[in-house]
Amino acid sequence: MTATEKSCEAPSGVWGFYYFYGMSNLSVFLAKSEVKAHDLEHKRKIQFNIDKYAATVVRGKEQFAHLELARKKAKNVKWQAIEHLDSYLEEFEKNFTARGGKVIWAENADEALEAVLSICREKEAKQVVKSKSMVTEEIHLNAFLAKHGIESVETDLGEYIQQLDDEPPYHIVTPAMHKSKEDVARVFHEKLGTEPNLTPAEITQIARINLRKKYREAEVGITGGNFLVADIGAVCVSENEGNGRLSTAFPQTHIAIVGIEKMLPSVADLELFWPLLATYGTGQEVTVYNTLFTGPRQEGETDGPEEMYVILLDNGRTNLMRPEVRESMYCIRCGSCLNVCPVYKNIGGHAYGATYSGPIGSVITPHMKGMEEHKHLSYASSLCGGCTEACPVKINIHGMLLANRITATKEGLNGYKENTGWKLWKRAMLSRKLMNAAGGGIKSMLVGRLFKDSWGKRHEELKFPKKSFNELWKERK
Amino acid sequence: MKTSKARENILSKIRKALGTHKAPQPYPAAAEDVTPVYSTTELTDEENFASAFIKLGGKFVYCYNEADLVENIHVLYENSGWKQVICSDPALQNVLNKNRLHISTLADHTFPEAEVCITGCEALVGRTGSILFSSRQFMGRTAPVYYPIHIIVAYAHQVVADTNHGFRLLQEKYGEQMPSMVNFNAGPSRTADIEKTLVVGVHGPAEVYCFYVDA
Ligand code: SF4
Repeated sequence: MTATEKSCEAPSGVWGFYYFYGMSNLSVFLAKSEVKAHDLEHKRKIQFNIDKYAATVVRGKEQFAHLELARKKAKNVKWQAIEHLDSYLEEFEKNFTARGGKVIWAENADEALEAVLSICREKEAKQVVKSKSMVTEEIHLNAFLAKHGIESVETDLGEYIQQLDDEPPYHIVTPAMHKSKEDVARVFHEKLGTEPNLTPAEITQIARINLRKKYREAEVGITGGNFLVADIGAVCVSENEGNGRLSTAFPQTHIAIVGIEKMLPSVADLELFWPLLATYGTGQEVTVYNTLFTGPRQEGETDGPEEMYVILLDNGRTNLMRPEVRESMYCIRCGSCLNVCPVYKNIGGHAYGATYSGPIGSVITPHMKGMEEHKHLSYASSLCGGCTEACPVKINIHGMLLANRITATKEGLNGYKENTGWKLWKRAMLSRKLMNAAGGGIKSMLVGRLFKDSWGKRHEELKFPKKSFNELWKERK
Repeated sequence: MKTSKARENILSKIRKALGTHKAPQPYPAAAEDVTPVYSTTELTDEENFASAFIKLGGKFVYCYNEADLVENIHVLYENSGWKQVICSDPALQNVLNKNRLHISTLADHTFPEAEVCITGCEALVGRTGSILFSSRQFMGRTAPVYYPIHIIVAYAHQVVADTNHGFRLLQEKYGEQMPSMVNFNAGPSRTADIEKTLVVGVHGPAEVYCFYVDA
C-alpha cells in the first residue's frame, strides 16, 4: 500500500464500518467509489489480475469447438432447473435424504445460522473448518460462530488471507485480488509473525502447515456448493486447492449451505457445467477438484463424516423469481462479468457494499436485500453490455440492470428531486419547439441544475451544442 | 417427512411465481442440436488422457504390465530419497510387496507422516485428463489428498472418453451402493490467489504421478 493510498483510504477493518456509520448505503457507495476510482495503485493491482485472467480464459475456451452452442445449451439447462425449481428441490431432498443426509430449509440468514449453531452445539464443536463459500459470507457465518465461542477458520488461501486481514472477500472467485504479493506478505508478517517479504510459494506453505492441524482437529466442516444435483441428490464443490476435500474428509460432520438457485436437473449436466465454470471462472479447462457429495459415510466406507446436512437457503432468492430478473437465478457465480466490467475495474469489489459485487451483484442485491436501500447499484453500470457478452450462461445482465432501474422508478424510489428532474427533462426533450427555442446554454443549465447531486459531480457537466441536432439537420437541407 | 414451515414457505413462493409467469425456453434450436460442443482430436482416449494430464502438471509413467509397474515405482523410489511411502489400496499393496518393495499400509485413521501415498482410482477421463476417485475406495476421502506426493496406479480398462462415461462406469460398478463422495481430480493442488501467481501443493499434493498399466 502506498502512502497516498493510506492517507486517502477510509479505515479498513470491518469495512471501516464506523467511519461510514450513519450514512445511507448510497452515500457509502459513492464515498467508497470516489476513493477507489481515483486510487491508481488499486487500479494497477486489479488491472494486473484481470489481464492475467483474460489471457488464460482465451486458452480455456479452446477446449470448445462450439462455445456458443455450449452456452446456449447451458442456458436451456438452467431455464429447465429454475422453471421447475419446486419439483427439483423436492427431488433433491428425497434423494439426499434416502442416503442418510439431512435437509434443512432456511428462509433467511437467521434460520440458517441457528441451524448451524444447533448442529455445532449438538456435536460440542469448538473448531470449524470452512471452505470458500459466498453464501457463508452472505449470512456472516464466521462472526456469528465467533460470538458463540466457535472458531471458524477459512481454509481457501485467498479467504484465509482476507480473514487474517479482517476484510470481506474482494471478488467472488479471487477473494484477495486487490492485494499485491507484498501486501499479503505484510499481512502474514503482522498477523502470524512470519518473516517479512515471503514469496507467494512460502506464504502458501505457511498456510498449508497451519491449516493441516485444523482439518484434523475440527469437529465440523462447512462448505458451500457450486451446484445441487436433483436426480442423484448431490451437492457439488469445485475448488483448486484441496481444502474443500480435506474439510469434508476429516471432520465428523459436514454441513453444506447452498442457495436454492444452484440447482441442476441431472448429474449428466456436469459434463457441460464444470468446464464452463472453470473456463469463465479462472481460465482453466477444468477445476482441480470437482467433488460430488451424496451423503455421509455409507456402510462399508472407511472414512468421511458420520453426518451430512444440506441447508437450502432462500434469503431473498425467491424474490428473483419475478419475470424481469428470473434469469439472474441462472448465475453460476463464475465472476466473469465482474472481470469485464469497467465500473468494477474502477471502483473495485468493496465499494458495492454487498456480498455479491459487480454487474450480477447489482442485479440481485436490490431484490435480495431491498430495492429501497440498494437500488443505486442498478446505476453502477455503463450498460455497455460487456457483462452479458462475458456470461457463460448468456444471462441478459445489462438488460436486467435496466429493468431494475425501471422497477425502482416505478416504485417511486428514486427520490422526489430526481424524479422531477427526469420529468422536466423529458418534457423538454419531447417538445421540439421548446428545445430549439432554449439554446445550448439554457439546456446545459437545466440539466446541470436538476441533476446537480446525482449526475453533475462525477460526470463532466453536460455541455450541449449551441444548435440542436434538429436545427443542424434543417440547416443542411 | 417432517414438514417445516420454511420448506412450505419457500416452495409456495416459488410456485406462486411460476404460476404467474412461465418463461419460454431460451434456445429451442440449441436443445435439439446434438453437435458435440468440445473439440475433438485424432488421438485415442488413452493418448488424450496422457497429454491432458501432463498439461495439467501431472507426471505420466507408462508401464507395459504389472512387473514393469513395480520396476518403475522402484526406480522412482530409489532415486527420489523418499523416506516413507504408504499405500492405501490393499490389492495394489499386494502386487507391490510381493516384489521386494516394502511399502506400509495406510491403516484406518492413523495418518503417518509419509511423503508419498499410492492409491488406485476409479477411472481416467480422456478429454479432461482428470482422474476419478470415490469414497468406496479404501480411505477414499483422505488418501488421495492428504499426502504431499500422490501416486495413482491405473489400468488400461479404466480409461473413459469424458465425464459422463466416468459416471456410467461408477453406476455399473456400484449400482445402488453409490459412493457418498465422488471426485474428479485434475492434477496437483494449486492456487493463483496471490497476484495470480501459480503455486502448487496448497492443501493437496504438489506432485501427482499416474502409473498407467497397459494390461
Ligand atoms: S452472471 Fe454470468 S458472468 Fe456473472 S457471475 Fe453469474 S454466471 Fe458468471
